[in-house]
Amino acid sequence: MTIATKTRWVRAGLVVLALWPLAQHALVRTVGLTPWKFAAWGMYSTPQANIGVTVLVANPRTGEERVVPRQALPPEFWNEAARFSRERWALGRWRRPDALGRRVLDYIPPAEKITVVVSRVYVDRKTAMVEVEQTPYEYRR
Amino acid sequence: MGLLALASDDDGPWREGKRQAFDLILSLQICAHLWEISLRLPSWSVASYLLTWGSLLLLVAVPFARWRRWAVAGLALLEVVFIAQSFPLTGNHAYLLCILAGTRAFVDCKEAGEQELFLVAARWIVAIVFFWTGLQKLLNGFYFQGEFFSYYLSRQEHFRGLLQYLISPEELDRLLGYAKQVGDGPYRSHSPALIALSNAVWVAEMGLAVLLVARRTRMAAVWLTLVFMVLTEIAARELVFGAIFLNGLLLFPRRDYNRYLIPLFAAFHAWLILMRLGVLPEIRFS
Repeated sequence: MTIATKTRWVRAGLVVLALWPLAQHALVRTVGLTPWKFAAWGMYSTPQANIGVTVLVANPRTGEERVVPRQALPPEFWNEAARFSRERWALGRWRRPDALGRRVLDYIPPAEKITVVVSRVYVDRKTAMVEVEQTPYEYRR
Repeated sequence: MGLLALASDDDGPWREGKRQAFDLILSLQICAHLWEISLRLPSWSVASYLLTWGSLLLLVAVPFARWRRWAVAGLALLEVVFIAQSFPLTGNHAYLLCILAGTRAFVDCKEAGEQELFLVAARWIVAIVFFWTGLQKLLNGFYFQGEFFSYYLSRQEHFRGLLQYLISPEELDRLLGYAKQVGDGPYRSHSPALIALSNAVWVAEMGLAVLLVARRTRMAAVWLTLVFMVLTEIAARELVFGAIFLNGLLLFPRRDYNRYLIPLFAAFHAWLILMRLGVLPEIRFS
């Protein structure tokens, strides 16, 4: 490869390096990606959000939803939930809790419908207050 | 080279030594990073053997001109494997190591023209990364009223150590009084000193990146960036990223100062490994 060709490739690589954070920022705004990751150099630009997982199970007769107590699900489930939380923090809404939902249906056989609620606790940039955003995902047998 | 040439310099006599020292420090940093990861894996696993012995073999090859480029390419490849395996939680330091090593492996550096191309490219990489660390703070909007610092001051000891002297005791009480739950806030400061510092951070990052590229202001920008890095490390303790960035920053001066700092980098990374092995006491940093 000639030096002129290499120079062109280097120039193209630098353009990508310079423009990629703009695309990442658009994904932060739209999908909820964390600014801290993905080579966009946004570490320490926002307080880190915390992700939590709550499982609700619907009473088959009344349809009323109750929180599934932590001890009702095995430790492996909560280990998987912790891993999900880290990945959800990074990937935002691109990371769905579908695998967790299926697991819960396996662990609680009588349940016809369960809901995995993903909570994101974050500092709002307009109010500077700690706020929570909850996204429910429903799963049926 | 057009726009690329803005980052060039008249560093002919020192260019080769400077680039060699950079290669060695970068390889050392990748190795230390991979060893640190391998220590978290089961000692008998294939991945652990590959990371430990593979990276060591490649590091040993780096001082030899004949194998250097391929050794750096091998280290870049191992770093790519790590990025793929740890995605999406990969730290930005892994990406930066990979970008620098990939660029070095792509440019042969046997001829003067290629050596210059590599140095110019590496300087641009450092400047772009530095510029974006500031621009991200501006775009995300947590630095105008000291929001970011107020939040971390209330939650992390090492941020508090330095920043608590910039705010009034009443404000410190207010921030420390939050129960770390939904409804806390507002995380805004009323202290002119903290607000000034907060805004100075993103202004400095973006401004110094530009001044590093401009040849006339480059040396002053290198010194100011070093001061800025020391202050940042006191609060954020991003030591690993800081060391990688410092290796890149040392490509900006005309002289090959980085050659004299090789033992310092080696000692720093040895300290990291010994700490991970439990030989030295653990110190919390990012």
